[in-house]
Amino acid sequence: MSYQVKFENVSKRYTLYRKQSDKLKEVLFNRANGKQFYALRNVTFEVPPGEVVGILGINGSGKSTMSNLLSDVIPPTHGKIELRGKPSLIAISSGLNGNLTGMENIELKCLMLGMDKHQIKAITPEIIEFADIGDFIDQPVKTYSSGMKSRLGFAISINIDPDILVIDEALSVGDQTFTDRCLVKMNEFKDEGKTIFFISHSVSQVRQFCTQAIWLEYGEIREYGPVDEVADEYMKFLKWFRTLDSKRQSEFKQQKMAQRTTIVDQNDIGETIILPRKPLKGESV
Amino acid sequence: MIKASKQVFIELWESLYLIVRLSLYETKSRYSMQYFGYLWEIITPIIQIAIYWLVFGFGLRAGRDVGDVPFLPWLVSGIVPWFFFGPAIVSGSRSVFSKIALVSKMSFPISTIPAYVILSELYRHVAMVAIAFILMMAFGISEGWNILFLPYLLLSALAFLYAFSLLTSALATIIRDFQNLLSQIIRMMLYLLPIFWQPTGKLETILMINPLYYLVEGYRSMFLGTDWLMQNVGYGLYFWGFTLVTFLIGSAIHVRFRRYFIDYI
Repeated sequence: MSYQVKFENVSKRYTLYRKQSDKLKEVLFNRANGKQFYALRNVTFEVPPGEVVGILGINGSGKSTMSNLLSDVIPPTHGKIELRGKPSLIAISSGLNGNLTGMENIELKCLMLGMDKHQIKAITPEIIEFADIGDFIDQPVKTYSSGMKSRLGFAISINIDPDILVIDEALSVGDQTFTDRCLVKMNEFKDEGKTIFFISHSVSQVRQFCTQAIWLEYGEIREYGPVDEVADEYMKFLKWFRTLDSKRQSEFKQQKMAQRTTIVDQNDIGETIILPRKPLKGESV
Repeated sequence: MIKASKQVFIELWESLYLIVRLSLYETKSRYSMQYFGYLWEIITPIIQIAIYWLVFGFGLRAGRDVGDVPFLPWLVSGIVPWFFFGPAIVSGSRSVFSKIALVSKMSFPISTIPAYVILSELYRHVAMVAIAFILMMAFGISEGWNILFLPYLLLSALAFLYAFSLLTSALATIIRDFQNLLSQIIRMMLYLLPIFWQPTGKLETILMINPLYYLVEGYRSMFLGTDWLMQNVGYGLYFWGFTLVTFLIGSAIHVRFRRYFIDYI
Protein backbone atom coordinates (compact mmCIF):
# COMPACT_ATOMS: atom_id res chain seq x y z
CA MET A 1 0.00 0.00 0.00
CA SER A 2 1.33 3.41 -0.80
CA TYR A 3 1.47 5.95 1.95
CA GLN A 4 2.10 9.64 2.20
CA VAL A 5 3.01 9.77 5.86
CA LYS A 6 4.53 6.98 7.87
CA PHE A 7 5.51 6.92 11.54
CA GLU A 8 7.60 3.98 12.66
CA ASN A 9 8.04 3.57 16.42
CA VAL A 10 8.30 7.32 16.81
CA SER A 11 9.00 8.69 20.26
CA LYS A 12 9.63 12.24 21.34
CA ARG A 13 11.29 12.46 24.71
CA TYR A 14 11.87 15.47 26.88
CA THR A 15 13.94 15.48 30.02
CA LEU A 16 12.49 17.14 33.08
CA TYR A 17 15.63 18.71 34.45
CA ARG A 18 15.88 19.34 38.11
CA LYS A 19 18.50 21.98 37.62
CA GLN A 20 20.11 23.80 34.75
CA SER A 21 23.41 21.94 35.07
CA ASP A 22 21.73 18.60 34.32
CA LYS A 23 21.02 19.94 30.88
CA LEU A 24 24.69 20.64 30.31
CA LYS A 25 25.69 17.20 31.55
CA GLU A 26 23.34 15.64 29.06
CA VAL A 27 24.92 17.57 26.22
CA LEU A 28 28.48 16.82 27.26
CA PHE A 29 28.19 13.19 28.28
CA ASN A 30 25.21 12.23 26.17
CA ARG A 31 23.56 10.70 29.21
CA ALA A 32 20.17 11.75 30.43
CA ASN A 33 19.93 13.10 33.96
CA GLY A 34 16.57 13.59 35.57
CA LYS A 35 13.15 12.24 34.82
CA GLN A 36 12.33 11.33 31.25
CA PHE A 37 9.02 12.36 29.85
CA TYR A 38 7.59 11.00 26.63
CA ALA A 39 5.41 13.49 24.80
CA LEU A 40 4.88 10.72 22.28
CA ARG A 41 5.73 7.12 22.92
CA ASN A 42 6.22 4.43 20.31
CA VAL A 43 3.77 5.79 17.80
CA THR A 44 3.32 3.83 14.59
CA PHE A 45 0.84 4.54 11.80
CA GLU A 46 0.55 5.02 8.06
CA VAL A 47 -1.66 7.45 6.20
CA PRO A 48 -2.45 6.95 2.51
CA PRO A 49 -2.67 10.01 0.22
CA GLY A 50 -5.94 11.92 -0.01
CA GLU A 51 -7.05 11.32 3.55
CA VAL A 52 -8.05 13.96 6.03
CA VAL A 53 -6.98 12.78 9.44
CA GLY A 54 -8.42 14.32 12.56
CA ILE A 55 -6.26 14.17 15.67
CA LEU A 56 -8.26 13.98 18.87
CA GLY A 57 -7.21 13.91 22.47
CA ILE A 58 -7.59 15.75 25.72
CA ASN A 59 -5.09 18.40 26.86
CA GLY A 60 -1.56 17.11 27.21
CA SER A 61 -2.04 14.03 25.11
CA GLY A 62 0.68 15.01 22.65
CA LYS A 63 -1.31 16.69 19.90
CA SER A 64 1.01 19.67 19.50
CA THR A 65 4.11 17.49 19.54
CA MET A 66 2.47 15.42 16.86
CA SER A 67 1.78 18.48 14.70
CA ASN A 68 5.37 19.68 15.10
CA LEU A 69 6.73 16.29 14.12
CA LEU A 70 4.36 16.04 11.16
CA SER A 71 5.44 19.42 9.84
CA ASP A 72 9.15 18.77 10.37
CA VAL A 73 9.60 21.53 12.93
CA ILE A 74 11.22 19.26 15.51
CA PRO A 75 13.09 15.98 15.04
CA PRO A 76 11.89 12.77 16.73
CA THR A 77 14.03 11.33 19.54
CA HIS A 78 13.61 7.78 18.30
CA GLY A 79 12.02 6.15 15.31
CA LYS A 80 11.56 7.10 11.71
CA ILE A 81 9.16 9.55 10.10
CA GLU A 82 8.72 9.44 6.35
CA LEU A 83 6.93 12.31 4.65
CA ARG A 84 6.23 12.09 0.95
CA GLY A 85 6.30 15.71 -0.14
CA LYS A 86 6.50 19.10 1.49
CA PRO A 87 4.72 19.61 4.81
CA SER A 88 3.22 22.90 5.93
CA LEU A 89 2.04 23.82 9.40
CA ILE A 90 -0.79 26.22 10.04
CA ALA A 91 -0.93 27.35 13.62
CA ILE A 92 -2.35 30.41 15.33
CA SER A 93 1.05 31.89 16.10
CA SER A 94 2.44 31.82 12.62
CA GLY A 95 5.81 33.44 13.32
CA LEU A 96 5.25 36.75 11.58
CA ASN A 97 7.57 39.67 12.26
CA GLY A 98 5.54 42.49 13.78
CA ASN A 99 7.86 45.27 12.62
CA LEU A 100 7.63 44.34 8.98
CA THR A 101 4.65 44.86 6.69
CA GLY A 102 2.40 42.06 5.53
CA MET A 103 4.02 42.20 2.12
CA GLU A 104 7.53 41.87 3.57
CA ASN A 105 6.42 39.07 5.82
CA ILE A 106 5.17 37.14 2.82
CA GLU A 107 8.59 37.30 1.20
CA LEU A 108 10.41 36.56 4.45
CA LYS A 109 8.27 33.55 5.24
CA CYS A 110 8.57 32.16 1.73
CA LEU A 111 12.36 32.59 1.84
CA MET A 112 12.47 30.72 5.11
CA LEU A 113 10.49 27.93 3.52
CA GLY A 114 13.18 27.59 0.89
CA MET A 115 11.56 29.23 -2.14
CA ASP A 116 13.49 31.20 -4.72
CA LYS A 117 12.59 34.69 -5.90
CA HIS A 118 10.66 33.59 -8.99
CA GLN A 119 8.47 31.22 -7.02
CA ILE A 120 7.83 33.95 -4.46
CA LYS A 121 6.89 36.46 -7.13
CA ALA A 122 4.48 33.95 -8.65
CA ILE A 123 2.54 33.13 -5.52
CA THR A 124 2.45 36.53 -3.79
CA PRO A 125 -0.75 37.73 -5.55
CA GLU A 126 -2.55 34.52 -4.59
CA ILE A 127 -1.55 34.96 -0.98
CA ILE A 128 -2.72 38.58 -0.92
CA GLU A 129 -6.04 37.65 -2.45
CA PHE A 130 -6.61 34.78 -0.08
CA ALA A 131 -5.69 36.75 3.03
CA ASP A 132 -8.09 39.52 1.99
CA ILE A 133 -6.79 42.20 4.33
CA GLY A 134 -6.97 45.11 1.87
CA ASP A 135 -4.67 48.08 2.38
CA PHE A 136 -3.31 46.61 5.57
CA ILE A 137 -0.99 44.46 3.48
CA ASP A 138 1.46 47.42 3.40
CA GLN A 139 1.14 48.14 7.11
CA PRO A 140 3.32 46.63 9.87
CA VAL A 141 1.91 43.33 11.06
CA LYS A 142 1.80 44.51 14.66
CA THR A 143 -1.10 46.81 13.77
CA TYR A 144 -3.14 43.80 12.60
CA SER A 145 -6.03 42.33 14.53
CA SER A 146 -5.61 38.73 15.61
CA GLY A 147 -8.00 37.63 12.88
CA MET A 148 -5.97 39.44 10.21
CA LYS A 149 -2.74 37.95 11.48
CA SER A 150 -4.01 34.42 11.39
CA ARG A 151 -5.57 34.99 7.99
CA LEU A 152 -2.24 36.13 6.59
CA GLY A 153 -0.42 33.20 8.20
CA PHE A 154 -3.00 30.80 6.89
CA ALA A 155 -2.87 32.31 3.41
CA ILE A 156 0.91 31.90 3.25
CA SER A 157 0.94 28.34 4.53
CA ILE A 158 -1.86 27.19 2.29
CA ASN A 159 -0.59 28.83 -0.90
CA ILE A 160 2.94 27.45 -0.86
CA ASP A 161 1.44 24.31 -2.40
CA PRO A 162 2.21 21.84 0.35
CA ASP A 163 1.70 18.11 -0.06
CA ILE A 164 0.95 17.56 3.59
CA LEU A 165 -1.02 20.16 5.45
CA VAL A 166 -1.09 20.26 9.24
CA ILE A 167 -3.76 22.47 10.76
CA ASP A 168 -3.32 23.04 14.47
CA GLU A 169 -6.40 24.67 16.01
CA ALA A 170 -6.02 27.45 13.48
CA LEU A 171 -9.58 27.64 12.29
CA SER A 172 -10.91 28.73 15.65
CA VAL A 173 -9.94 32.39 15.18
CA GLY A 174 -11.47 33.18 11.81
CA ASP A 175 -15.10 34.14 11.30
CA GLN A 176 -17.53 31.84 9.53
CA THR A 177 -16.88 33.24 6.03
CA PHE A 178 -13.15 32.75 6.37
CA THR A 179 -13.59 29.27 7.81
CA ASP A 180 -15.80 28.43 4.85
CA ARG A 181 -13.17 29.70 2.42
CA CYS A 182 -10.58 27.56 4.15
CA LEU A 183 -12.79 24.52 4.02
CA VAL A 184 -13.26 25.02 0.28
CA LYS A 185 -9.50 25.26 -0.17
CA MET A 186 -8.93 22.18 1.94
CA ASN A 187 -11.50 20.22 -0.03
CA GLU A 188 -9.57 21.17 -3.16
CA PHE A 189 -6.46 19.71 -1.53
CA LYS A 190 -8.36 16.60 -0.62
CA ASP A 191 -9.44 16.13 -4.23
CA GLU A 192 -5.86 16.60 -5.41
CA GLY A 193 -4.91 13.65 -3.24
CA LYS A 194 -3.01 15.62 -0.62
CA THR A 195 -2.98 14.57 2.98
CA ILE A 196 -4.36 16.85 5.65
CA PHE A 197 -4.02 16.56 9.40
CA PHE A 198 -6.59 18.41 11.37
CA ILE A 199 -6.01 18.99 15.05
CA SER A 200 -9.01 20.24 16.93
CA HIS A 201 -10.86 20.03 20.19
CA SER A 202 -14.13 20.25 18.37
CA VAL A 203 -15.30 16.70 17.71
CA SER A 204 -18.13 17.94 15.50
CA GLN A 205 -15.68 19.83 13.23
CA VAL A 206 -13.54 16.70 12.97
CA ARG A 207 -16.56 14.56 12.12
CA GLN A 208 -17.72 17.02 9.51
CA PHE A 209 -14.42 17.40 7.75
CA CYS A 210 -12.21 14.35 8.31
CA THR A 211 -12.25 10.87 6.82
CA GLN A 212 -10.07 9.24 9.45
CA ALA A 213 -9.10 9.99 13.00
CA ILE A 214 -6.29 9.29 15.42
CA TRP A 215 -7.11 9.36 19.09
CA LEU A 216 -4.07 10.17 21.19
CA GLU A 217 -4.07 9.30 24.83
CA TYR A 218 -1.12 10.39 26.95
CA GLY A 219 1.38 10.10 24.16
CA GLU A 220 0.16 6.85 22.66
CA ILE A 221 -2.31 6.00 19.96
CA ARG A 222 -5.46 4.71 21.55
CA GLU A 223 -7.28 4.25 18.30
CA TYR A 224 -6.81 4.92 14.60
CA GLY A 225 -9.52 4.29 12.05
CA PRO A 226 -12.52 5.76 10.20
CA VAL A 227 -13.58 9.04 11.75
CA ASP A 228 -17.02 8.02 12.98
CA GLU A 229 -15.81 4.97 14.87
CA VAL A 230 -12.97 6.81 16.56
CA ALA A 231 -15.08 9.86 17.35
CA ASP A 232 -17.81 7.70 18.89
CA GLU A 233 -15.30 5.92 21.10
CA TYR A 234 -13.70 9.21 22.04
CA MET A 235 -17.04 10.71 23.00
CA LYS A 236 -17.76 7.63 25.10
CA PHE A 237 -14.44 8.08 26.84
CA LEU A 238 -15.08 11.76 27.48
CA LYS A 239 -18.49 10.96 28.99
CA TRP A 240 -16.96 8.30 31.21
CA PHE A 241 -14.09 10.58 32.21
CA ARG A 242 -16.50 13.33 33.21
CA THR A 243 -18.43 11.02 35.50
CA LEU A 244 -15.32 10.41 37.57
CA ASP A 245 -14.88 12.63 40.59
CA SER A 246 -11.79 14.80 40.69
CA LYS A 247 -9.88 12.37 42.91
CA ARG A 248 -10.33 9.48 40.54
CA GLN A 249 -9.59 11.70 37.57
CA SER A 250 -6.22 12.61 39.01
CA GLU A 251 -5.55 8.99 39.94
CA PHE A 252 -6.19 8.04 36.35
CA LYS A 253 -3.88 10.79 35.14
CA GLN A 254 -1.14 9.76 37.55
CA GLN A 255 -1.32 6.17 36.45
CA LYS A 256 -0.98 7.22 32.82
CA MET A 257 1.81 9.62 33.72
CA ALA A 258 3.82 6.82 35.30
CA GLN A 259 3.57 4.97 32.04
CA ARG A 260 4.74 8.00 30.19
CA THR A 261 7.94 8.38 32.16
CA THR A 262 8.98 4.75 31.72
CA ILE A 263 11.98 4.57 29.43
CA VAL A 264 11.32 3.02 26.05
CA ASP A 265 13.84 0.42 25.00
CA GLN A 266 15.01 2.22 21.89
CA ASN A 267 18.51 3.23 21.01
CA ASP A 268 18.30 4.56 17.49
CA ILE A 269 18.47 8.27 16.76
CA GLY A 270 15.21 9.47 15.31
CA GLU A 271 15.06 11.00 11.86
CA THR A 272 12.59 12.69 9.57
CA ILE A 273 12.96 11.82 5.92
CA ILE A 274 11.28 13.91 3.25
CA LEU A 275 10.78 11.88 0.14
CA PRO A 276 9.92 13.27 -3.30
CA ARG A 277 6.21 13.69 -3.73
CA LYS A 278 5.76 11.35 -6.69
CA PRO A 279 5.85 7.59 -6.05
CA LEU A 280 9.20 6.10 -6.96
CA LYS A 281 9.68 3.85 -9.96
CA GLY A 282 8.36 0.33 -9.61
CA GLU A 283 6.11 1.31 -6.76
CA SER A 284 2.40 0.81 -7.15
CA VAL A 285 0.37 3.98 -6.94
CA MET B 1 35.75 18.12 11.04
CA ILE B 2 36.71 18.73 7.43
CA LYS B 3 33.44 17.17 6.31
CA ALA B 4 31.38 19.42 8.59
CA SER B 5 33.21 22.53 7.35
CA LYS B 6 32.62 21.52 3.77
CA GLN B 7 28.94 21.03 4.50
CA VAL B 8 28.62 24.45 6.13
CA PHE B 9 30.51 26.05 3.25
CA ILE B 10 28.20 24.48 0.66
CA GLU B 11 25.11 25.54 2.60
CA LEU B 12 26.33 29.13 2.68
CA TRP B 13 27.15 29.11 -1.00
CA GLU B 14 23.78 27.73 -1.99
CA SER B 15 21.88 30.18 0.22
CA LEU B 16 23.64 33.39 -0.84
CA TYR B 17 20.47 35.05 -2.12
CA LEU B 18 18.60 34.01 1.02
CA ILE B 19 21.35 35.43 3.24
CA VAL B 20 21.35 38.79 1.46
CA ARG B 21 17.56 39.18 1.54
CA LEU B 22 17.27 38.13 5.16
CA SER B 23 20.06 40.51 6.18
CA LEU B 24 18.21 43.41 4.53
CA TYR B 25 15.00 42.55 6.38
CA GLU B 26 16.97 42.21 9.59
CA THR B 27 18.24 45.80 9.25
CA LYS B 28 14.84 47.00 8.17
CA SER B 29 12.90 45.51 11.05
CA ARG B 30 15.39 46.99 13.51
CA TYR B 31 14.85 50.54 12.31
CA SER B 32 11.35 50.55 10.90
CA MET B 33 9.75 52.28 13.85
CA GLN B 34 11.90 55.41 14.05
CA TYR B 35 11.55 58.62 12.10
CA PHE B 36 15.26 58.83 11.31
CA GLY B 37 15.42 55.10 10.59
CA TYR B 38 18.74 54.19 9.07
CA LEU B 39 20.25 57.57 9.99
CA TRP B 40 20.59 56.30 13.54
CA GLU B 41 23.08 53.75 12.28
CA ILE B 42 25.40 56.70 11.61
CA ILE B 43 24.35 59.17 14.31
CA THR B 44 24.97 56.79 17.22
CA PRO B 45 28.62 56.01 16.38
CA ILE B 46 29.39 59.67 15.64
CA ILE B 47 28.15 60.68 19.09
CA GLN B 48 30.25 57.93 20.64
CA ILE B 49 33.35 59.04 18.76
CA ALA B 50 32.77 62.59 19.97
CA ILE B 51 32.66 61.38 23.58
CA TYR B 52 35.81 59.24 23.24
CA TRP B 53 37.59 62.12 21.54
CA LEU B 54 36.72 64.38 24.43
CA VAL B 55 37.65 61.89 27.18
CA PHE B 56 40.74 60.28 25.68
CA GLY B 57 41.93 62.97 23.28
CA PHE B 58 41.54 66.09 25.37
CA GLY B 59 41.17 64.58 28.82
CA LEU B 60 43.85 61.91 29.04
CA ARG B 61 46.15 62.89 26.18
CA ALA B 62 45.67 66.64 26.59
CA GLY B 63 45.33 67.06 22.85
CA ARG B 64 48.70 65.50 21.93
CA ASP B 65 49.08 63.78 18.56
CA VAL B 66 49.83 60.07 18.16
CA GLY B 67 53.16 60.01 16.34
CA ASP B 68 52.55 62.53 13.61
CA VAL B 69 48.83 61.85 13.29
CA PRO B 70 46.29 64.00 15.14
CA PHE B 71 44.31 62.03 17.73
CA LEU B 72 40.89 62.30 16.07
CA PRO B 73 41.75 60.56 12.79
CA TRP B 74 43.90 58.07 14.70
CA LEU B 75 40.98 57.22 16.97
CA VAL B 76 38.53 57.01 14.07
CA SER B 77 40.81 54.67 12.14
CA GLY B 78 40.73 52.19 15.01
CA ILE B 79 37.19 52.59 16.27
CA VAL B 80 35.36 52.36 12.95
CA PRO B 81 36.24 48.67 12.53
CA TRP B 82 35.39 48.10 16.19
CA PHE B 83 31.89 49.49 15.64
CA PHE B 84 31.52 46.61 13.21
CA PHE B 85 33.22 43.81 15.16
CA GLY B 86 31.69 44.49 18.57
CA PRO B 87 27.99 44.41 17.60
CA ALA B 88 28.58 41.66 15.04
CA ILE B 89 30.17 39.36 17.62
CA VAL B 90 27.42 39.99 20.17
CA SER B 91 24.48 39.63 17.78
CA GLY B 92 26.19 36.80 15.93
CA SER B 93 26.45 34.69 19.04
CA ARG B 94 22.86 35.48 19.97
CA SER B 95 21.63 34.83 16.44
CA VAL B 96 20.74 31.15 16.58
CA PHE B 97 18.66 31.12 19.72
CA SER B 98 16.89 34.37 18.93
CA LYS B 99 16.00 33.44 15.34
CA ILE B 100 15.50 29.71 15.33
CA ALA B 101 11.84 29.94 16.32
CA LEU B 102 11.18 31.98 13.17
CA VAL B 103 12.82 29.39 10.98
CA SER B 104 10.46 26.65 12.13
CA LYS B 105 11.71 24.05 9.69
CA MET B 106 14.34 21.43 10.23
CA SER B 107 15.34 21.60 6.60
CA PHE B 108 16.32 25.28 6.84
CA PRO B 109 20.12 25.63 6.83
CA ILE B 110 20.70 26.97 10.34
CA SER B 111 24.30 27.79 9.47
CA THR B 112 23.02 30.76 7.46
CA ILE B 113 21.57 32.47 10.55
CA PRO B 114 24.87 33.85 11.91
CA ALA B 115 25.82 34.78 8.34
CA TYR B 116 22.83 37.01 7.68
CA VAL B 117 22.92 38.56 11.12
CA ILE B 118 26.57 39.54 10.60
CA LEU B 119 25.85 40.75 7.10
CA SER B 120 23.10 43.01 8.43
CA GLU B 121 25.80 44.83 10.44
CA LEU B 122 27.96 45.29 7.35
CA TYR B 123 25.83 47.94 5.65
CA ARG B 124 26.35 50.44 8.43
CA HIS B 125 30.03 49.57 8.50
CA VAL B 126 30.49 50.39 4.81
CA ALA B 127 28.82 53.78 5.33
CA MET B 128 31.07 54.43 8.33
CA VAL B 129 34.18 53.55 6.32
CA ALA B 130 33.14 56.01 3.61
CA ILE B 131 32.65 58.80 6.17
CA ALA B 132 35.96 57.95 7.81
CA PHE B 133 37.76 58.18 4.47
CA ILE B 134 36.31 61.63 3.87
CA LEU B 135 37.63 62.64 7.29
CA MET B 136 41.09 61.26 6.48
CA MET B 137 41.21 63.23 3.26
CA ALA B 138 40.01 66.35 5.02
CA PHE B 139 42.95 66.00 7.45
CA GLY B 140 45.23 65.47 4.47
CA ILE B 141 46.32 62.08 5.81
CA SER B 142 45.05 59.84 3.09
CA GLU B 143 45.14 60.30 -0.65
CA GLY B 144 42.47 57.67 -1.05
CA TRP B 145 44.32 55.03 -3.07
CA ASN B 146 44.76 52.81 -0.03
CA ILE B 147 41.01 52.10 -0.13
CA LEU B 148 42.19 49.28 -2.41
CA PHE B 149 42.91 47.34 0.78
CA LEU B 150 39.24 47.53 1.78
CA PRO B 151 38.04 44.39 -0.08
CA TYR B 152 40.79 42.35 1.57
CA LEU B 153 39.96 43.72 5.02
CA LEU B 154 36.21 43.20 4.59
CA LEU B 155 36.81 39.63 3.49
CA SER B 156 39.12 38.99 6.44
CA ALA B 157 36.67 40.54 8.89
CA LEU B 158 33.66 38.65 7.53
CA ALA B 159 35.55 35.35 7.47
CA PHE B 160 36.71 35.74 11.05
CA LEU B 161 33.37 37.01 12.37
CA TYR B 162 31.47 34.19 10.72
CA ALA B 163 33.84 31.47 11.91
CA PHE B 164 33.75 32.88 15.43
CA SER B 165 29.95 33.33 15.46
CA LEU B 166 29.37 29.82 14.17
CA LEU B 167 31.17 28.57 17.26
CA THR B 168 29.73 31.04 19.78
CA SER B 169 26.16 30.81 18.51
CA ALA B 170 26.20 27.04 19.03
CA LEU B 171 27.69 27.40 22.51
CA ALA B 172 25.33 30.22 23.47
CA THR B 173 22.31 28.16 22.42
CA ILE B 174 23.32 25.20 24.54
CA ILE B 175 24.69 27.21 27.46
CA ARG B 176 22.84 30.49 27.74
CA ASP B 177 25.30 31.94 30.27
CA PHE B 178 27.93 31.99 27.57
CA GLN B 179 26.23 35.03 26.09
CA ASN B 180 26.72 37.04 29.29
CA LEU B 181 30.36 36.04 29.48
CA LEU B 182 30.92 37.02 25.89
CA SER B 183 29.32 40.47 26.37
CA GLN B 184 31.74 41.12 29.21
CA ILE B 185 34.72 39.99 27.15
CA ILE B 186 33.65 42.26 24.32
CA ARG B 187 33.36 45.20 26.68
CA MET B 188 36.90 44.50 27.90
CA MET B 189 38.21 43.97 24.40
CA LEU B 190 37.65 47.62 23.53
CA TYR B 191 40.57 48.44 25.85
CA LEU B 192 42.75 45.47 24.92
CA LEU B 193 42.92 46.51 21.29
CA PRO B 194 44.96 49.37 19.88
CA ILE B 195 41.92 51.64 19.66
CA PHE B 196 42.56 54.28 22.32
CA TRP B 197 46.23 53.61 22.92
CA GLN B 198 49.21 52.00 21.23
CA PRO B 199 50.67 49.07 23.19
CA THR B 200 54.42 48.55 22.91
CA GLY B 201 57.03 45.92 23.77
CA LYS B 202 56.06 42.66 25.45
CA LEU B 203 52.50 43.86 26.06
CA GLU B 204 52.04 44.36 22.35
CA THR B 205 53.19 40.80 21.63
CA ILE B 206 50.74 39.38 24.15
CA LEU B 207 47.82 41.44 22.88
CA MET B 208 48.65 40.42 19.33
CA ILE B 209 47.51 36.87 20.14
CA ASN B 210 44.01 38.28 19.69
CA PRO B 211 43.20 38.05 15.97
CA LEU B 212 41.07 41.20 16.20
CA TYR B 213 44.33 43.06 16.82
CA TYR B 214 45.35 42.22 13.29
CA LEU B 215 42.09 43.53 11.88
CA VAL B 216 42.15 46.79 13.86
CA GLU B 217 45.78 47.48 12.89
CA GLY B 218 44.95 46.50 9.33
CA TYR B 219 42.11 48.99 9.11
CA ARG B 220 44.27 51.66 10.71
CA SER B 221 46.98 51.01 8.19
CA MET B 222 44.45 51.40 5.40
CA PHE B 223 42.99 54.64 6.76
CA LEU B 224 46.32 56.25 7.63
CA GLY B 225 48.06 55.02 4.50
CA THR B 226 50.89 53.16 6.26
CA ASP B 227 52.45 49.95 5.01
CA TRP B 228 51.75 47.95 8.21
CA LEU B 229 49.74 45.33 6.32
CA MET B 230 52.61 44.73 3.89
CA GLN B 231 55.16 44.49 6.67
CA ASN B 232 53.15 42.00 8.71
CA VAL B 233 52.47 39.22 6.25
CA GLY B 234 53.53 36.62 8.84
CA TYR B 235 51.03 38.00 11.34
CA GLY B 236 48.44 37.90 8.55
CA LEU B 237 49.11 34.20 8.07
CA TYR B 238 48.63 33.69 11.82
CA PHE B 239 45.29 35.51 11.56
CA TRP B 240 44.08 33.31 8.70
CA GLY B 241 45.29 30.17 10.45
CA PHE B 242 43.39 31.21 13.57
CA THR B 243 40.27 31.86 11.49
CA LEU B 244 40.54 28.51 9.74
CA VAL B 245 40.92 26.56 12.99
CA THR B 246 37.98 28.45 14.52
CA PHE B 247 35.90 27.62 11.46
CA LEU B 248 36.83 23.93 11.63
CA ILE B 249 35.93 23.67 15.32
CA GLY B 250 32.85 25.89 14.94
CA SER B 251 31.38 23.92 12.06
CA ALA B 252 32.10 20.59 13.77
CA ILE B 253 30.19 21.72 16.89
CA HIS B 254 27.46 23.37 14.86
CA VAL B 255 26.80 20.31 12.71
CA ARG B 256 27.01 17.96 15.68
CA PHE B 257 24.45 19.84 17.78
CA ARG B 258 22.16 21.64 15.40
CA ARG B 259 19.40 19.09 15.40
CA TYR B 260 19.05 19.68 19.14
CA PHE B 261 19.03 23.49 18.92
CA ILE B 262 15.24 23.68 18.63
CA ASP B 263 14.84 21.58 21.80
CA TYR B 264 16.96 24.04 23.76
CA ILE B 265 14.81 27.08 23.15
